[in-house]
Amino acid sequence: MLIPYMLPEAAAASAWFIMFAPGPIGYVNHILLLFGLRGGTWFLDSNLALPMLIIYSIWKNTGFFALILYAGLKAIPKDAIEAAYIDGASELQTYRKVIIPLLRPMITFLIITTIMSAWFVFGSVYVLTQGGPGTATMLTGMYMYYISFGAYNGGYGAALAVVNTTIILAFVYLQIKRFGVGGYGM
Amino acid sequence: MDTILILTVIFTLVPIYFLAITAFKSYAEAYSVPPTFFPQKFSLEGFQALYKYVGDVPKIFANSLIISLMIIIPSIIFGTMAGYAFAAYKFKFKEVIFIALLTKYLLPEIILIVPWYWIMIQLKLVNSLLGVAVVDLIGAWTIFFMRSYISQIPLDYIEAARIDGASENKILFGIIVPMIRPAWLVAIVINFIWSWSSLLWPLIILNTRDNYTLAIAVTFVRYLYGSGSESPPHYPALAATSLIYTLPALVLYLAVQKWFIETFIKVGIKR
Repeated sequence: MLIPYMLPEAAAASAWFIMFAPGPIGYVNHILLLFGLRGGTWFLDSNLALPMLIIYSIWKNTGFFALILYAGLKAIPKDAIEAAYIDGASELQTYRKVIIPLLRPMITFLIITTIMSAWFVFGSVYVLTQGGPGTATMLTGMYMYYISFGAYNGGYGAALAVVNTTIILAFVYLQIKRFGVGGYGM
Repeated sequence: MDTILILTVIFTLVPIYFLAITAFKSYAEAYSVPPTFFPQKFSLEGFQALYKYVGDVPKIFANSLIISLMIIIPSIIFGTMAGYAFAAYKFKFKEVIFIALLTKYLLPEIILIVPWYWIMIQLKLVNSLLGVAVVDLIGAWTIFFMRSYISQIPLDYIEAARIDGASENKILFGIIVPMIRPAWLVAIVINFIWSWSSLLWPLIILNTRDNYTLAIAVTFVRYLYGSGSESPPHYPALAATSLIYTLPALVLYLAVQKWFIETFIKVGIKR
């Protein structure tokens, strides 16, 4: 499950691009047709391009989430769960009231980290859509690249960078404040 | 539960499968209706197109490899030393330096590329492999990881060694280093995969075809025939390039997977 996370971006994105080729030649379209559903143009469709990017990112990053949460789960002392059982909690209740709160720090860490990396995602956007049909998938990262190195408007690009840096520093501050400087092994 | 697991595995690996089969199809077959789920005729057309349009493929592969090595080796060396320093010593400005390092690590590449590029122009390192590697020689992640790993070593070992009169050097190289070999492997794998996949910075700083990394070659092939509707993309070539690009990372990761996850979790538990 971690495998997609370890794959290089450009290659993984290409694989998805190939899989979701528009028209009847695409693998996914073909499978959909077998089920009687109409195929679509996926990455070339202004309404679908962004959701597709999101699904691609989910595919790629879920393994990482799983890894960190697994490590977190392993760190939960068995006694806590046993105590909950003894007190008569059902499995769902144990899950909600014991495990999730104990995983809270990991979850917050993941949320903040993901926001930060999703904000500046570049590789997958560049390979898959370069901004999408029109500007459907023109995300911040892609936009900054486009402005600075596509439209050669260095000044504007630098301005964008400054604004985004401020935003990102806010997140950085959040991270550091919440987790302290210790244990940043990941 | 089992169905979910099976579905997850399929969902995870399916794109790789399609990548592999498309790489060995001929251009015509890639466009066949309906698409074939296994190449009817094994063709190396994709690879040939790759050679034709991108040029010196082995050199490009070597470029990626060289850059990865240039990043990994200093990262491990300095990362271990710095990690040990952070873990075992107290020194002036320790917190400040750590926070500075942390901030650098958390800042995304995109923001930093403009200053980096400017610096590279001054250093005359534009379009060079060294220029690509230089920006991450420190390996901030490696430092943090080493620090976490080393801080799990009980201090008594170090104390005992000091009492026995070992010099600091001896402690570091004689005692710590042999103990952190597993961490080294994890660090090497992560650094390799990270540098192997890096796309943005090499894309910006390298401009002659011969100096490209594999990542850039993939994007080059992707936009080869134009992304508009005039000329359809050359799928086999794209798949071929991506395949060559993925294989080292994939193989490396699969080889160390089990053990890698174990070590990773051991470090994680510390928090």
